[in-house]
Amino acid sequence: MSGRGLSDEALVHTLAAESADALRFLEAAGLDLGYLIQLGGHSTKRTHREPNSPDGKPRPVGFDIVNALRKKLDSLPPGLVTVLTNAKAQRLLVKPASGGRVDGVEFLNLTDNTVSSAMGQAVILATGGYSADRQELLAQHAPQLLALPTTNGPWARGDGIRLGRAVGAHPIHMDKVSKSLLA
Amino acid sequence: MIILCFKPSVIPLQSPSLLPHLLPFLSSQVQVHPTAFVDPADVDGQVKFLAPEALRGLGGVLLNARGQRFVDELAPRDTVTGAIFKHAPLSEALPETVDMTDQAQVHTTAPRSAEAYLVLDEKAVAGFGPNFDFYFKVKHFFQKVEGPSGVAEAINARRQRRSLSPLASGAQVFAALAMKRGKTGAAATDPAAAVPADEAEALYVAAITPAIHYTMGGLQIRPDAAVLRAADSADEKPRAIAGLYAAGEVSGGLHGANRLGGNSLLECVVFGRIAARSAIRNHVPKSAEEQAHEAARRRILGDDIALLVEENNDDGEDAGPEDEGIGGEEKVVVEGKSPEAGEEAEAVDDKPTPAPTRDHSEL
Repeated sequence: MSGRGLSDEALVHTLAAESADALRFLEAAGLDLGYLIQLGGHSTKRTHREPNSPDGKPRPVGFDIVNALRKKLDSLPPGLVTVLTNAKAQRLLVKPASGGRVDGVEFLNLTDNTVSSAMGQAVILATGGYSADRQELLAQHAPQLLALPTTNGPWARGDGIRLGRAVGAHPIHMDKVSKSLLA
Repeated sequence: MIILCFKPSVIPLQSPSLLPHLLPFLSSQVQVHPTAFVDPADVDGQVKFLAPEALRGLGGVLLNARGQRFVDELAPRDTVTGAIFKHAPLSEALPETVDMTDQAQVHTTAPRSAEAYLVLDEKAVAGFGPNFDFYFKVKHFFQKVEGPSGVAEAINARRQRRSLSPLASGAQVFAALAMKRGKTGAAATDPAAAVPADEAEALYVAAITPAIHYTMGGLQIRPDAAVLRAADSADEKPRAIAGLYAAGEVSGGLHGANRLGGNSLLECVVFGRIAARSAIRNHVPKSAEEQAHEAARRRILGDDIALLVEENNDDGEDAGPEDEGIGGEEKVVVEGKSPEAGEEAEAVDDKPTPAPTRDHSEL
C-alpha cells in the first residue's frame, strides 16, 4: 500500500468502497467527472477530472465541487440550513455531566467581534491541515522542512486539530514524532 | 443545521499560550509535493504555485543542474521528492553517512533547498491544453527554448543568477530526453546522431522545487468518521468522543506516510457524507415511525453504510441518540478551510463565477 505501512486499513477500505458512491453523489449534483487520468503512484487511470472547458482550459475541480454543493444548499427551503461566514470557531462545547459529549461550538463573529455559541446534536470538523503553520506545528513535528515553501494558503494552521485536542481527541502517530518520517 | 465558515483571509493567529500543551500530540506526517514552480521573479518566496502532476503525466522530464534525468517522473510523490533532494540540492550535498536507499533518512536529512528543472516538449504542452499559457505567458514560469542545448543554457543561466556555477550541457540534456523517449544505442547518447529536428525542436523549461503540500496526520477517526479520544493507557481501547466527527485533512490515519494524488478531494466527499450520516443516525432523535422505516429500508436495500456505521458504533458512549437534552433537530457543522478548498470556498462567497487564477484541476 502507498501509505508505507502506516495507513489505517479500515479507513482505506472505507475510502475505496465508498468512492463510486461519492462519484455518483457529485454527478447527481451536476458535475461531469468523466475524464480519467493517471497520477503519480497510481497503477492505472483512476482519478476523475472534469472535461476541459469549451475553450480548452482545465476546470478547477475543487472549486466546482464546492460551488455545486453550495447551489444544492441554496436550493433547500429557507431556514433549514444557516451558513455563517466570517466566523472563527474558538472552542468545542461539551455538554455538562455527559461524559464528554460535544454539543456545540463557541465562535467569534469577526464582523462585530462578538462571541456566540451554536448548539446542536453533533459537530463535524472539516477544517483542513497545518501545512502553513510554520511557526508552531511544523516547527515541532517537521523541523527539517521549515526551509521549504508551501503550496497552501495562510489559513492552513491546524485550527481544527487544536479544537479537537482540547476536548480530548487523539491526533494520530504521536509515538512516531521522533522518527519524523515525512512524505 | 448551521454551517460555520472561516474566511481564510481574516483568521487571526492562535493564542500562543495554548500551543506548548498541544504540540506533543501531533503527527509528523507531512507531505512534500515534489514540484512547485520557482518563480523567476521571486525565487525565495515562501508560497509557491503547484506544478500540476499532469505536466509530468503528459511526458514532462525532470533534470538536475547537470541536465541529467534522475528519477521516474511518475513515481510516488515521496520518491520523486527524495530524488530531488538527493540529486538536485541547490547548495549543500547530503552527508556521506546518509543511506540513500532509505527514504526516511533522505527525507530527514534533506538539504534545505533544492531546484530541479521540468522540461516539456510541444506534445506535452498541447496535451495540457490552453491553461499552459497561464504558467508560460502570464506567470513566466516556463521559458521557451530551442533544443537540448537551449535547455542547458536556460538551466545554467538560472544557476548563474543565484551565483552558482553552470553545470549543464546540451549533450546531457539530449541524453536525458532520449532516455525518456525510450531511445537506445547511438540515438540515446550521441547528439551528433540526432536528426536535425531533435536539436531544433521547441522545448519549455521551468525550475521546480519541493514544497509542503499536505499534512497526513490529524485527529484519529474511525470508518464512521467519529473522532477518537486519546487513550489514558496503551492498553485502553480507543473510544469515540460522542457528538464529534471529522472529515478531510483535519483527520488522520487514512493516508499513512504518503497521500496519492486525487485522494484528498475524494476523502472530503466520502468521509464528509459518512460524518453527516453518522451524526444524524447517532444524535438526531427519531420518531418511532422513522425508526421502523429505517430498519425496513436497511433490511430491503442492504445499506452497507448503515451497517458499517452500526458495526463500528459499538463503544457504548456514543451509541444511538441520547435520551436527555433533546433540543430540536439542529446540527452544527463547522466548515473550515482545507487548504485546497480554501480559495474556492472564498470565491463562492465573493465571486460567483471567477476565472481561476491557479490550476485547481488536480489536488
